[in-house]
Amino acid sequence: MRKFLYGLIGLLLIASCGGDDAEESISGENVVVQMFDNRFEYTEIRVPVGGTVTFAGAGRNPHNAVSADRSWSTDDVFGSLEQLEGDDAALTFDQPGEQVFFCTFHGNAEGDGMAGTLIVGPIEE
Amino acid sequence: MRKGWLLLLAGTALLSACAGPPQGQPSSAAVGDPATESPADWSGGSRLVPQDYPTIQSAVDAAVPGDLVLIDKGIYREEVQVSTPGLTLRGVDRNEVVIDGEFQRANGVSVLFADGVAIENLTAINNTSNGFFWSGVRGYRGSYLTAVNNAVYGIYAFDSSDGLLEHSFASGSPDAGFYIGQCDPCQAVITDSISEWNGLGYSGTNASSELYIVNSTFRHNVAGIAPNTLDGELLPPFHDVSVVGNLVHDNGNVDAPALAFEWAAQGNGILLAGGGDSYVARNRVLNHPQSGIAVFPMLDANFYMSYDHRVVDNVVDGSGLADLTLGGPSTSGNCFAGNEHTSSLPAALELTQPCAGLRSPVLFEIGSTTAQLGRLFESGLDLQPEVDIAALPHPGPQPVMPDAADAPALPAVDVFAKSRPDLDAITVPDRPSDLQVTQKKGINIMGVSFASAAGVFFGLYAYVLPLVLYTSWVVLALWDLSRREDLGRGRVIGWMAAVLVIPFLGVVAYYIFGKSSIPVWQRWVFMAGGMAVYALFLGLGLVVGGIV
Repeated sequence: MRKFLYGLIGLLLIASCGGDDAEESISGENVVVQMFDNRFEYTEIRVPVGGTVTFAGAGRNPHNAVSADRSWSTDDVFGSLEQLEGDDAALTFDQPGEQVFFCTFHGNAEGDGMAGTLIVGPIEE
Repeated sequence: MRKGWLLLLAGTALLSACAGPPQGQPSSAAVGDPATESPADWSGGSRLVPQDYPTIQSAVDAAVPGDLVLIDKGIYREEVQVSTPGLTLRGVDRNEVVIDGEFQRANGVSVLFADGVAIENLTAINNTSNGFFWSGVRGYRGSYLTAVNNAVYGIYAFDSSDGLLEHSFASGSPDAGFYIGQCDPCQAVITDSISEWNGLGYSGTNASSELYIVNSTFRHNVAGIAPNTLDGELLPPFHDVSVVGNLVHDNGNVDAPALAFEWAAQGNGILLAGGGDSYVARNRVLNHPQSGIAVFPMLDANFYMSYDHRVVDNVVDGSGLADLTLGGPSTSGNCFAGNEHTSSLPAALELTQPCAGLRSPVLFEIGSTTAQLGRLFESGLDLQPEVDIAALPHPGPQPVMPDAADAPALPAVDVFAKSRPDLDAITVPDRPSDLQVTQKKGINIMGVSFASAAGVFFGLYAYVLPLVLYTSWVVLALWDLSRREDLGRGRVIGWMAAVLVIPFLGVVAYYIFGKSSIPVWQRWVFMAGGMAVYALFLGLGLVVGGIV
């Protein structure tokens, strides 16, 4: 009983403090990137060719993700540039390369503000 | 046993680390990038809309740093983005130069990464995000602006510093009429402005240092003024905000629009949610269904206790729950002094938490905090009133900027240094003759207000019930100890002292270590059963309320 209680209390205390630590990069075949006010959860995203990035609305303001060269946009799959909290847009990338992306409301193509870099290519295991 | 102890120690260490003062994080945007620096003076150039340019955007695109874009009377159905520093956008008539988003476009005017842009004497309505918006700038000014029925914020500055919002009006925004977020130091002033019929009159998430909300009116919002801390934005928690000399009344308007967190704050005049070191002084606060002035913790991905706030010399009246409230858990650093008031939660708050002299180590009230959890629960279940912002009332004509057609342009450079208020010179605003105290004291039990069904539910199950359980643990432990013959008198007295003096942990320690004569299974049911009920309802509120 004692062991269990110690552990339980400890876990409760740990859980009560659980937060999301800020990380700048993520990689994987299928990654989810939340769009907060007014920033992307990750500013560097790596996926393999054929990988998928889901941009998930998580702010009070609407957000989107658009590549600097306008070759892709969350608008392409979501149907609007205004993704609110709970709105998802999943994009699959078949061409290798590196691109800046940004939110048209809160960033710019130069990478200022709400912006990041997408790298499509081999990822480290 | 070792693993359990390690978890207990780790949890305790983490809790103490996460509940304390600021965890600094750098801002994501480069504020004051030299590439966007503004000229300090007018270039002398004027771009007239629509005489020279058919749209505001075309004039802005043609302008060079320091120009004036002067906009004639008319309704402009466009979205204006400004990326040129030092522009002044000015309407010739605040009430008749209107940017209408028609609920199709995001922002009336947005200024991105361009320092020193001033916007004057304009109205922005019906945008799907914000009326007027600055982001990632050093130097901004909004004067004589009217923002009505914009779907997120009326007038909004984010990740920006050196700002002034003055002589402005905002209504009909579900998040906040005025919002300054994610900045430290913000070096910003909101003054001589009116905010009504919004979710929050003012919201400032993670906005800190040299931030002044003064000499303004916040009325008929869902809640009035709410500096707050959230994990969705960088730089938590907020700190060093001054709220001085404002008239704050009749916030609790259930016909105004609100998002979930705003609904959780419903009925409070001024609330400090989760930050520290702020100063609330000489405000006149009346007619609020919950608290006139409240200090609360903030629960998001992390839990933020409020610390070292000073609430002094305010005049507070007509509160349904209490004029002054210290919601817990809280640190002992918050203080209250010199306020004209008739009620507080906990009682005698100015005696137990004075700003000078000895303070009670920990004394706060939980019922009002759990009531907010209830509000979040209501919102999660779509039980809060639905409000169509398109149908909300428009204000009458607002005071216009003097000499708007001819006054020279003035880029927003060093505005904070020129507008920083002398707080000591600000007095409590007079009460308008037609403003009477109408809010009656409501019914509450141990701080649990009966104004909301969900609030009562969570208040009883997540607060009163655990308190009753804890009380019964203590009583049973004392009864058990009084009958123990296997312990010497000294040990019995020692355990009794531990049970009585050490809140919660003393009695738990007795049941674990004290070799109580109560059978193990009974102790299990007694302690774990109550905690399970508590955890169940707390978890339910957090999940349905959308916090986790």
